Amino acid sequence: MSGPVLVVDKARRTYGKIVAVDEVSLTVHPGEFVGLVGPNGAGKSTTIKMITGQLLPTAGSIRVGGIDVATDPNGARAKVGYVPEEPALYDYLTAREMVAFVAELRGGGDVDAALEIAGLGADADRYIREYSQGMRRKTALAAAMVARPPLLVLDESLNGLDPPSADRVVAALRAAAAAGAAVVLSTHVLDTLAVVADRLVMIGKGRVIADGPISELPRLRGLF
Amino acid sequence: MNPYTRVQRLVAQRRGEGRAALLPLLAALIVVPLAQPLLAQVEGAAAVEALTTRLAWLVAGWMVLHAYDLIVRGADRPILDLHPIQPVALLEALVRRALLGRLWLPLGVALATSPLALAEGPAVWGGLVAVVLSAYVGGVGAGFAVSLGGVWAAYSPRLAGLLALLAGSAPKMQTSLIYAPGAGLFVVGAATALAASGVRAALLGWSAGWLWLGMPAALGVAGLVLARRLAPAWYVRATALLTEIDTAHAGAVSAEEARAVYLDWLARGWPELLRALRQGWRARRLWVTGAWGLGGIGALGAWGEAGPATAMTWGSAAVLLYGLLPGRLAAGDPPWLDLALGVRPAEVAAARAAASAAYGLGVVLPIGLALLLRHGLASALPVVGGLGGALILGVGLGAGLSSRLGSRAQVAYAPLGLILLVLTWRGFSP
Repeated sequence: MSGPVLVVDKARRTYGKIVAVDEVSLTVHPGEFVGLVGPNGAGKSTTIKMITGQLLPTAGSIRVGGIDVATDPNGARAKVGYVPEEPALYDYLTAREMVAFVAELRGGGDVDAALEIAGLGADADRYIREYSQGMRRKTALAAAMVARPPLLVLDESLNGLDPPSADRVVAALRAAAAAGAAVVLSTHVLDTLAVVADRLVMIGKGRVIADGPISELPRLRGLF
Repeated sequence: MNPYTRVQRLVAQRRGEGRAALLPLLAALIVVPLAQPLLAQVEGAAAVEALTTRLAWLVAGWMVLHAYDLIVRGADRPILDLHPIQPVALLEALVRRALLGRLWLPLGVALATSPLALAEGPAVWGGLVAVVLSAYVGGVGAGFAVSLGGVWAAYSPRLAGLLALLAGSAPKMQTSLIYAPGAGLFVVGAATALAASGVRAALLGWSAGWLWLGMPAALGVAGLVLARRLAPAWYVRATALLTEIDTAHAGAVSAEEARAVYLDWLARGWPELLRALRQGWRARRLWVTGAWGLGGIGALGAWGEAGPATAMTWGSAAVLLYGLLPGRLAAGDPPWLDLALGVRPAEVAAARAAASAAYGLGVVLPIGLALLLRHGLASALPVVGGLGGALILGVGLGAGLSSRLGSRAQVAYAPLGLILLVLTWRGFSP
């Protein structure tokens, strides 16, 4: 895909008089691994919800793969693989069945490869209701990646994972980025991103307060 | 095959929903001899029409709300919201699920009212069953149409002013969703009343009346056609609407309100009960406040001459309703949570029973007080004892079922609660 995968243009989200996100602008290109960081309540999750079409911006626009999420939310969804902090899954399916179902909805994908990349190979035929929270996240990740969407968005998805699982997920995301997908990973743990992200976007009080390459981490850390 | 239907079938099969659906039918069979004396009082065309209308309204109302639950607030939505959807295929799968998954409801009504076939004749009973089935289809079709129409209305700039006027204290984008089921029930209810009067007229000799039977079902089919047109544009858009509504509600709760939980003093040293009370207060508040409303109505009935009998009839129906609450509370508990917390299912069930009983006391106390003041302690005690016993039995049964069946306990409890109710009524009838 030529051109940016994600264009957030002066997106603003208000709830009555409360401004949750204030004119956030962000452009992400294919193959880029972007870390969205900021303290709790900074507006990261609201920004993620708007990018994934879970919430509409009050003003401004968001385009994913060239599709406006407000005018064609279903079309935009097809361009995004989204892993929320607490993913909802069919508890009475196995991970393999769940990922296969998603692949069918998205028009195809390599189910076995997605399960393997997410680190679920040996457990893929157990019911999801028997899974730990970490395994549920891996299942959601496999589902998000199975059809190789151009944009992967993860909201605090590394929280609570044991170090080997987190390493595996990060490796999977790096591989996806290397294959051309854009990755946006939101977290409030800056250190996690230091080793994986190409670029950090810092959000504070609903605004982008810093946006730059990982090499500028020391400066960004000072802001955090 | 429709991918949504395939997944729904798999899930239903593994959850044992097919077997669970047999329970209401079994219960209806058990109710038959118990209900016979009550149905014997239904004599004449007018009484049959009144019974038919009320039963059909109950079924239609249930299905309108069920359709709303499936397409707007259903458990599938958070799962499907992460991916693109095939709107028409999804709608078809949900309609199929609504129609087949609650088929026990009209069939149960048919079984439970079957003594009418002997008392009033097969045509009378057949007419009742046909109206109920027609209302069932009508409720499903209207339910899907008004629910998706509610999403359309929430986004419509032309309706924004009207909805803001009707909003009250609710977030204004929620207004159309609040009124949608009511609008569906109103339309199907009117068609159902006409269908029931048509059957009455047919039984009295006006054969064209039989045609009226089909009105609710025809309305349902029209509703499904409309829903099919609305689904592509509005199913997905409901997601952002719901997020906005939920965020608005969360923002409206002050920090102090967030800490305050009704009856939390009961839960000292019992964390599971505190969890159930919190969940009930925050997610099922209508059950908490509704108990006092039902109790208030019961107290009015208890004040009359036939106070104790009226109070027992009304109160037992109200308290046994609270046996559904443990299943509702279980609906908010992810199955993995208790595993992760290492809590025994029996502890959770006991907590749900205790919370439900505590809420249900809102029914018993006003009735007991009214009886005490108007008829004296000797009249109040047996009724309060009876209602308390029925409440404990109902919530205990509901909670036991919830620990085995989770949210499906509601389906299993409904017929068993009905049997308990009929037994309670018969036990207290003079």
